[in-house]
Amino acid sequence: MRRDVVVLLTRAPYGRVHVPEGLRAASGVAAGFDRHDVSVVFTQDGVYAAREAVDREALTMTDHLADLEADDGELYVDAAAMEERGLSPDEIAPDVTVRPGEAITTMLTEADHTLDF
Amino acid sequence: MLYLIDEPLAEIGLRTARDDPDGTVVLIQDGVLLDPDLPNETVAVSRDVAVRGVDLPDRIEPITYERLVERIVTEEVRSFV
Repeated sequence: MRRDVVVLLTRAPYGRVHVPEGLRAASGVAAGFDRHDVSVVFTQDGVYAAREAVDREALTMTDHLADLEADDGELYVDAAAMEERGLSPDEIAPDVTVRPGEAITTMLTEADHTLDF
Repeated sequence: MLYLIDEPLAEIGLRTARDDPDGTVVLIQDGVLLDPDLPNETVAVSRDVAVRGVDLPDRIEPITYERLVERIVTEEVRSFV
């Protein structure tokens, strides 16, 4: 049965494995037999990982992102968390969609499941 | 809807709960140290409160783990733990 799954990435990218492991989980959920709808949301300090300047290769994000894209996974960044941290939309990587805080919280309440990393 | 809130995910968790005035905020683990300024019914897990020696504000009710489990089984839950 197809489900709507939101994966939250909440930690800053460097010095820990939460971002690549969250992307690994997201691509795994998206690739499963049931072909779930997966959205990855960069929020809290995770917004730093959505910046274009991030070295995705060094963070082993690249392969997971490619898998996720192949399975129609979506990438979003939380504009409210960005604002709180002084990040501007033009810093964000082109494959990540900037979404208002209210839209992000609505996604979370309407999702079938949420996973946080 | 129950919103389980621990401290590390409090920012996004409380923001999500704020959009649902009928939802109940459940402060759990280090979340009991928070005093969220929300219109929602707010409860805090009594054992986590006790082991941390927290004095809960008047508007936050303690809840036992047993009672919380009963509510988790019967209500929809969003976990930010």
